[in-house]
Amino acid sequence: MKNSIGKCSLVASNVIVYAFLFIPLVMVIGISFSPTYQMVFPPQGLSLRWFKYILDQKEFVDSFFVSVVVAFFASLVALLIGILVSLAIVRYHFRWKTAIENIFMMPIILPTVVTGVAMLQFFSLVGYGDFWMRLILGHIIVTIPYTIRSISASLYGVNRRLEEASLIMGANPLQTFKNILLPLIKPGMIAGALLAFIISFDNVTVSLFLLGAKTVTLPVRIMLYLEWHIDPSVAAISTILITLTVITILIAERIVGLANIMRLE
Amino acid sequence: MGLPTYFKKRIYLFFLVPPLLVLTVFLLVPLAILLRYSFSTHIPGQGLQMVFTLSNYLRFVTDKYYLNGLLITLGTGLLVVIVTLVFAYPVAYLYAKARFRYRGLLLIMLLSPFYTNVIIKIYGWMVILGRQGVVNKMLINFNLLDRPFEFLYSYIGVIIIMVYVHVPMMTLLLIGPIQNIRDSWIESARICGSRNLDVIKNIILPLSIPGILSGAIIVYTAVIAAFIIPLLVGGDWGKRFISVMMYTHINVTQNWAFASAIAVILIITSLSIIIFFSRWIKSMKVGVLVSEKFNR
Repeated sequence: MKNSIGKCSLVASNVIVYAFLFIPLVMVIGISFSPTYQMVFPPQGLSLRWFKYILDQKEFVDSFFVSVVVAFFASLVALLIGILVSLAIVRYHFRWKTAIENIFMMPIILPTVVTGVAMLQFFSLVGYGDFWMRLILGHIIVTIPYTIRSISASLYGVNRRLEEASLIMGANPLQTFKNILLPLIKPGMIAGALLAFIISFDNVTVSLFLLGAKTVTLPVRIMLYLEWHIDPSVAAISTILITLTVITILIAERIVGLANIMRLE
Repeated sequence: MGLPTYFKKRIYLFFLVPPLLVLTVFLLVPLAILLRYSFSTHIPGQGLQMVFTLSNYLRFVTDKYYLNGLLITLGTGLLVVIVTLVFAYPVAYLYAKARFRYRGLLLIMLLSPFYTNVIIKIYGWMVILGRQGVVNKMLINFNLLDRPFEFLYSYIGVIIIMVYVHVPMMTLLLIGPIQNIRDSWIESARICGSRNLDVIKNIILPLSIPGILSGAIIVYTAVIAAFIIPLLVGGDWGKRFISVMMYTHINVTQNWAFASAIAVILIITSLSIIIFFSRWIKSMKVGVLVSEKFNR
């Protein structure tokens, strides 16, 4: 990168693309502070009325909690499954190993819309009507690959001698697992659980097929609202969500490092 | 090897049992049901008839509407992937090669739009491209248009938003492969007197191709299965996306048999693309490995 023309055009194209990526988000944030019904950018004046409006809407607040509950339980189960599968896959050799690995990656390869339809048909065939469980199960399936990938990545990096040493010093297997292995794969676990939470929270496609009247997740609620209204209230809720996303990303950067999560280094 | 045997030898079987059970019951069985439904038939008023027929597939192959829909989907995917690549490559290149303090910030800037909910991103573009949107207002103010142009609910809107949604994903997929291109190779080309363009043409691009292809395939399969964007802002164009056609048959006509057949066709299409290209890429990775060895 010694050549200045090359460097300039590289930086210039980066500026353009990052601007492209940020303009819609900046627009949304700007409009959320609009004092009027009109969606004008830049907003004429500042007001928090749309934030107050959206917090007074019971269905939006309810949907937010539905999303949080579903994402919490889905990522918890996906985390447990991720630990079990990663231990088996990374630590042992057995027949059909690659096939089993691939089966667990299926939810990524399959179009999400197909997963949603298949699960909908399954649940209505067996007559399973608990919409909370439907939704959580759907989200578990979708998030499993992410926890498996990040936990097995950190498990590959664990030096087995540490565990051997612990065993030689007289710790029992459970103690070794708890005191040596678990702390070592903790970054992978945190990263996997965070990813699973975000992916579940953001999911629209599977939710759309599996939700019931009382379990409308927040993204779907916004989507349904957008079909009939276009006013700055959605901008207000979007601003809140964008803020939460950025905070989550910053926390992830602090705890485990983003480059680790995205497996970039 | 003294591997830690504190988990008794075959205990992994027990590890795998609950996860496999969950996955089998809630994904594999549903997929089997989907496959079975695709061979059944739907009679309005009477619902699903459990017969065995190829009529759904025949209908898809013989009806121009559905075949064209598949072609539109595949073509749109190609267009979106190419534009996305053009946008993503320089961003990935800067992140992969730059050595400066704010590299972490770049990643945060990339991940913020990546993890922002797709509905919010669509809403952002509604604000920009809508009839009352910023772009239309500007064009009218400069007298380039006399009335608002309908960007949304048309092909162009779908393309713009799809590119937007997939640029961060493509960038993240490209960073790793670009990092694998050693600086020393670029340096040696420079030392040997190559000009900028030659370095790009002869060193950087050829070595990026496996990474570009694998990234492009992943994004392509995501785009052809994309569902929310064409549904929300696609208008009549969006209705012809294969995933939206499937959704219509699930929700509107309630013809689950035909919807299942469309789903199976969607699965087969994206799987065959993945399998076909992953063979191709593997053979190219060998080429990269050879060049790496040659360089040492």
